[in-house]
Amino acid sequence: MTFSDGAFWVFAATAVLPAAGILLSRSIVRMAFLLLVSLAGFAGLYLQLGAGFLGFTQVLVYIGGILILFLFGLMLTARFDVHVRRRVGAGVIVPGVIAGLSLLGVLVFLALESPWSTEAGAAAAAAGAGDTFQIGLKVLGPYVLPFEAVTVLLLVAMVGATYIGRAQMPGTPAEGERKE
Amino acid sequence: MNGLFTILDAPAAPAIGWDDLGGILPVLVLLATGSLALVLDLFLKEEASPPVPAGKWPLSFVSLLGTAVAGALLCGHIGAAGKPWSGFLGAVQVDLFSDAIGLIVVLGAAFCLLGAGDALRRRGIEQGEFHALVLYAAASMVLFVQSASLVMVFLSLEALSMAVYILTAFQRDEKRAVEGGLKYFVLGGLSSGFLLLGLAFIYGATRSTNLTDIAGALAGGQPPADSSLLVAGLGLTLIGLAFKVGAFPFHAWVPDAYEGAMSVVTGFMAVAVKAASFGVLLRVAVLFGGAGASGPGSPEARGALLAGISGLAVVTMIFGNLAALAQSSAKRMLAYSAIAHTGYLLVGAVSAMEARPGGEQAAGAGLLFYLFPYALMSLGAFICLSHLGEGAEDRESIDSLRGLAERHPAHALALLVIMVSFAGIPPTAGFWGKLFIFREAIATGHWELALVGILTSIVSVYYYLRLVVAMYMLPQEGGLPAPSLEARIGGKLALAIAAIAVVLVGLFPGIFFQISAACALR
Amino acid sequence: MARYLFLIPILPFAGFLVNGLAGRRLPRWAVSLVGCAGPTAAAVLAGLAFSEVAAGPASVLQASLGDWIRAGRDFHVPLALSLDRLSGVMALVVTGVGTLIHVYSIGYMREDPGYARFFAYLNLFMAAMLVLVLADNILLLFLGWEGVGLCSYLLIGFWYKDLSNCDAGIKAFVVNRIGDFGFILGVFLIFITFGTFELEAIDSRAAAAAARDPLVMKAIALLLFLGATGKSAQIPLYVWLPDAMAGPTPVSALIHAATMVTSGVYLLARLDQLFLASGALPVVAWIGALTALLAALIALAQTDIKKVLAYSTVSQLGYMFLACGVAAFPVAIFHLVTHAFFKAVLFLGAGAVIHSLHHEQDMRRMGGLFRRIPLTGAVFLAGALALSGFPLTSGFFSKDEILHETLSGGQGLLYSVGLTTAVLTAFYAFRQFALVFLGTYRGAGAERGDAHGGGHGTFPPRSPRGDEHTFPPRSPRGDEHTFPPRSPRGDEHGHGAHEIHGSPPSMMAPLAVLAFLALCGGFLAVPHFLAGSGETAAHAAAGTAGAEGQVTGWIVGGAATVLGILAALGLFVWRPALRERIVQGTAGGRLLARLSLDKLYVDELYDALVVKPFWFLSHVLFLVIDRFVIDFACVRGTGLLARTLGAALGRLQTGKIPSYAFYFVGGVLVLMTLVLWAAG
Repeated sequence: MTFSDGAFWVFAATAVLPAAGILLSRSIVRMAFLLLVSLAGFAGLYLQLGAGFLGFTQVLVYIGGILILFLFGLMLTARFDVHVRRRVGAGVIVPGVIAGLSLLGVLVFLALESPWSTEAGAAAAAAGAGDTFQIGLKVLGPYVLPFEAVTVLLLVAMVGATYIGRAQMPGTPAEGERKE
Repeated sequence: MNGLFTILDAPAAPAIGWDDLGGILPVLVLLATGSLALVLDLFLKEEASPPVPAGKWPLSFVSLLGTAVAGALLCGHIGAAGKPWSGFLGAVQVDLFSDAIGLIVVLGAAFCLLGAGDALRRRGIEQGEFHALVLYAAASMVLFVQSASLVMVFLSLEALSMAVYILTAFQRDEKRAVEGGLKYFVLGGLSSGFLLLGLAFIYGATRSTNLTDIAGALAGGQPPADSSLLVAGLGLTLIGLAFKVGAFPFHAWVPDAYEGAMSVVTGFMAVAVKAASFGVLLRVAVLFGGAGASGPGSPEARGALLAGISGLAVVTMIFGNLAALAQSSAKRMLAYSAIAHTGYLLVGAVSAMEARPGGEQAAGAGLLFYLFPYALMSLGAFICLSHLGEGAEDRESIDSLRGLAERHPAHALALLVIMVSFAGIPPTAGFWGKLFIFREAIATGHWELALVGILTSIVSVYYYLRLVVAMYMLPQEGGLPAPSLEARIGGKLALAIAAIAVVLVGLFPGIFFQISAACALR
Repeated sequence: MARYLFLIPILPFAGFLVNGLAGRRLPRWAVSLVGCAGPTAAAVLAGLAFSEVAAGPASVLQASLGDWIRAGRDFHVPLALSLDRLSGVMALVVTGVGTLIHVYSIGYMREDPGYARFFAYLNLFMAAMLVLVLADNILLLFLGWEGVGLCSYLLIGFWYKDLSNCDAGIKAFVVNRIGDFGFILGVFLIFITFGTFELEAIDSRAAAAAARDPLVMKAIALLLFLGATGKSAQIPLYVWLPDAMAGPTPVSALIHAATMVTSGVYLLARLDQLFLASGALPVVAWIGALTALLAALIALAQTDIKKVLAYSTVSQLGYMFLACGVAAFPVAIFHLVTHAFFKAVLFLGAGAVIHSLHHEQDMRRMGGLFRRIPLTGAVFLAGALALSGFPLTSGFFSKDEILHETLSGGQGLLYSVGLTTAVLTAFYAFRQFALVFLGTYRGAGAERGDAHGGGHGTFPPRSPRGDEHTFPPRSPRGDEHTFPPRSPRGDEHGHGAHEIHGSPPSMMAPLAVLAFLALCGGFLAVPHFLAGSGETAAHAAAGTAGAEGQVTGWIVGGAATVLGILAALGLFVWRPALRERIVQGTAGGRLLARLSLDKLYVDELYDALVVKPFWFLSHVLFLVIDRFVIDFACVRGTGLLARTLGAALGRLQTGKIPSYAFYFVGGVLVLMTLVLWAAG
C-alpha cells in the first residue's frame, strides 16, 4: 500500500462515512455539518486525481459558499436545531435496501467490467488538462456556449426563486382574506 | 508562474464570430423577448381589481411577437433546406431536424402564451415572469435539440427543466400547483443525477464530449474504448430522457404535475418538453444505435438502445392507456393519455433506429409527423379545459363537461374534433400520425410494437369518447353549477386554430408528411 | 364553350354554398337573388352549349378536370363532363324548368322560416342533377344520382318538425337504397366487363360484349334497371313517391315530377345500345306498362290534390319506360320533356291552389275555384289537357308517339294496356280538374256564410300536412279545421288574410310560361333531333317509315282522350248522381273505388311481406348479436377488465415522493439490467 493508496482510502472514508451519517441523523444542523465533511473528502479525491482547479473550487464554492449559506438560511428561518421526524417502516426500508444494493451491484459490475485505461487520463494530466489556464481557455473556447447556457439556467432559477419566494402580489388580497 | 505570458503567447484560438450567433438566432430572439417581457412588466400598471378586461395585453403581444419571429426564422431555415451547420466550435448543430422540433416547441409556447392571458388574469397573477419563463423555457428547449455536446445537453436540459418546474408551481398560492411543482422538481433532480452519470459514462467511454466527434469515430469503425461503459452511459442517459418524456416507469411525476399546473402550462409541458426531449432522444438513439450506412458503429450500443427503447415503448403504451381508463378527471385522463402517446412516439424512435442513412426511409419521419398533430391536439385540449374554469380553479372532472354541447357548442365541437383525433379515428390528423408510426414500425420489422400500439389505441377510444359522451349525450348535473366560460379572443383563437389545424392536417396529411420526411435525421 | 361546361353544375353549387352557409344572415331578397341566379346562369350556359351541339349532327362538348379517383394502374376515373344532344336536352329541361320553379318558390315559400335552407337544398339538387346529366362516366353519374337522392331526402323532410314528413323522407331513402344497391352491382359488373367507366365507351362496346357473354349483359341491364325503378318509381319500388309529396310543392314539381324521377329514363337512354344489346328490354316494357296502368287506377280515387298528381307521375314514368322497352329511346326522352312541362304546370298549379286555400289539400273541400282564381284554373286546365293527351297539346304528341312505337313494334298487348291507361289518364285528370275548379265550393265555412265575419279567425301556424294518405275523413263543414269562415261570395279584392286569394306574380309568371310549353311543347321535334344525333339512327328510320300509321294513331289516341275527359266531366259535373249510383250501387263500382282509394293495398302488402319479417329478423339479431355478443361479452366485458386493471394501476399513484422515487429507482434497475443484458 503506497502513500497514494492510503490517502485515497482516507479521502474516500471522509467522503462516504459522513454521507451515511446524513442518512441516519435526525438533526438538520448535524446533517449540514456532516455534508461539509463529506464534500471536503471529495475535494481531497479531486486533488489526488490531479484536478487541482476542481478540488479548490469544491472547497471555495461548496464548502465556503453554498454550505455556509445553507447554515445561515437554517439559522435565520427556523429554530436552530430542527429535528426531522421520520417514520420509516420495514415497507420502505426493505425495498429501499434492495434497490440500493442492486444499484450498487450495477455500478460495481460496471467498475469491474470496464478496462479503465489510464493512459489517456495520465496524458491529459501531463498536458495540464486540470490546470486553471487550460480550463480558462476551454471555457472561453469550445465551452463558451455551455458557459452561457449556465447563465440562462441561473437567470431562470433567479427569476423563479424571486417569484415563488415573494409572498403576495401587491394587487391581490391575501390568502386568508379571499376565503371570506 | 508564467501564466500571463502564456496567455499572450497562446496560439490564436479558433474564432467564434457573428456567424455563430446568427446560427442560434431563434434562441437569442426568444431569450431577448423573455427578458423584454420581464422588464416591460415593470412599466405596466397594476390594475386595481382583478379580473381586468384587457389585462396586460402588451406582455402577451410582445412575447407572442417574439415567438412569431423565432418561428419565422425556423420556418425560413426549413424552407431554405439549409445544410447542417455546426457552431460554437462544435457545441451546437443546427439542421432541419432541430428546426422542425424547434418549430413545434415555439408553436407550443405561442399557444400557451395566447391562451394564458385568461387563465392568469382570472387568478390575478398576470406577471411578466410567466411570459419570461415560457420564453426562456422555449429558448432552452431549442438549444437542447441543437445541442451537439454532452455538456450542452445537460445544461440546456437543466435550464428548461428549471423553467418548467417554476411554471408548474406558478399558481403559487394553490396547494396542488406547488405540490405538483415540488414533486416534479425533486424527481427531476433524481433523474438529472442519473442523466449526468450517464453522460459522464459516455464521456469516459469515448473520451469526447462532442456528439458529432463521437458519431464520426463510431461510424469510422473506431469502437469505443470501453463498450460496456458506453452501454451503461447510454442506458442512464435514456433514463434521464425517459423521465422527461414521461415514459413508464419514470412517469410518476406526470399525473401530479400535469394536474397541478394551470391547464395552459400543462399543454406547454405536454407538447414542448416532450418534443424537445424526443428530439434529443432520437438524435442520441440514431447516433449511437442507428443502423448506420455500413452497419452500426457499436453493435452493443445498438442492441442495448433497441431493447431499452422498445421495452419502454411497450410498457408505456400499456400503462398509459390502461391507467387513463380509470380516471374521473379529464385533466388527469389527458395526463395519462400523454403518457400513452409517449409510448407511440417511442415506437417511432425504434423504427427511426432502423433507417439507414441515405436509404429510402428517413429516420424519424413518422415521429416528427406524429409530434405535430399531437402538439395541436394537446394544446387545444388543455386550452379548452382552461376555459372551463372559474377564478383560481379549473373545472376538470369529466362530469363537469356534461351538457357542454348545449352550453358552449363551439367549445364542445372543438373538443370533439380533438378527442376523435386523439383516438385516431380517420380522417383526423391523429389517425394519420398513428398510421405512419405503426406503418414504419411494421416496415422495419417491429410488428410487435405496432400490434401493442394498435391494441392499446383501441382501448384508448373508450376514454376519449367518454368525454364526447359526457359533452353531447349526458344532461348537465343538477348539483354542479354550470362552469362559466371565461375566454377572451386569444384563448378562443388558439382553440379554433388548433381544432381547424387538426382537421386540415387530417385532410391533407401528404404535405405535412413530406415536410416531416424532409426534416428527418439524415 | 367546352371550357365553361363545369360552370353549369358549379354555379348552382355556389348558390348552395352561399345560402347554406350564410343564408340565415342574409336578407330575403338576397337569398332569392342568390338562389335563382345560379340556376338561371346555368340555364343560359346550358342553352349556349346546347346551341353549339345542335349545330353539328354528332358534335359533343367535353371538359375534364383531370383525375377524380386513381387507384393502381387500371382504375382511374376522370372528373369529366360531356354534353351531347341527349344530355343537352336533359340539361335544358333541368335548368329551364328548374329555374322557373326556383322563381315560383320565391312566392310560394315566402313566409317559411326555412327560406334560405330551402333554396340551398334546391340549388344543391340542381348541381347534383346537372352532374348526373352531364357526367362523362358512370361513377360521376352515380355521384349525381346519390346527390339528387340526398336532396330528395332532405327536401321531402324539409318540414322536419313533423314526424310523418321525416318518415316519408326515410321511406324514400330506404326504397332508393334497394335500387341503388342494384345500380352499384351493375357498375361493378360494368367495370369488370368493360374495364372502363366511360359511358360512351361502354355503350359502343356493348354489342360486342353481349355477343361474348349475353348473361352478364342481361344482368348488367337488369341491375341498372333496378336502380332506375328505384329512382323513377316503377314497380316494385314506386311506393316512396306518393309519400314524397310531404315535401313543399315546388319540390314535388321539380324533383318528384320534372327532373329527378326521370333520371332512370335518362340512364336507359344514355346506355341505349347496352340495353338494346342486353335483351332485357321486354322486362322494361312490361314493367313500364304495368306501372302506368296500376298507378292510373290508383289515381282514379285519390282525394288529395297532390296524391293524384303523384300517381299520375308514376303512371307517366311508366309510359316512358314502355317507350324505352320498345327501343324508342328518343320518344321516351320526348315524353320526358313534355311531361316535365305539363307535370310542372300541374304541380305548381296545385301548389297555387294550396297556397290560395292556405294549405288545404283535400279535393273534397275544394270546388268552384275557377271563378275565384281563374288564372290558376286556366293554367291548370292547360296542364290537365296536356296530361290527358288532348289533341295538339304536348302530351298528345309524345304519348301518341309512344303508343305508335309500341304498336309498330308489334306489341299489341302492350299497346292496349297503354291505350287503356290513356283513357284512365284523361279520366282522372279531368276528375281532378272538375273536383277542384268546377262545381261549387265545398271548403270550410262554405255553408256558414258570413256568420263569423272575415279575418279574425286564428290561422293555424304553417304546419304542412304530412301524412296525407291517412287523411282523416273530415266533416265537410270542417269544424275542426280552423280555416276562417269566409263567404264564397266574398269579394276577391278584400284584403283579409284568410280568404281565397290569388297568387303573386312570381308564382304566376313561371306558371304561364310552363303552361304555354305544356300546350305547344309537342311541336318540338325532340325524337327526330335526338335520332339525328346518330345514336339511334336505325330506329329513326323505322319511325319515319310508319308515317301514315301515325295518323290513325292520332285519331285513336285523340278519341281515347276525349272519351276519358267526357266520362270524367259527365260523372263529376253533369251527372253526379250517376256517379253515386255506380260507386254505391254496384258491387264492382264499390270494389273499384275502395281498391283505388286504398292504393290497391300495395303498401300493406309490402308491410306484411317485407317490412314485418325484416323487422322481426333485425330484432332477433339485435337481441342476440348486439345485446349479448357485442354489448355484453365484448364491450362490457373488456371494458370492465381494462378499467379494473386501470384502477389497480392508478393505485400506484400514491402522491408521495418517496414511493415515486422508489418506482424510479426500480425502473432504473430493470432498464439497466435489460440494457446491459441486451448489449451482451
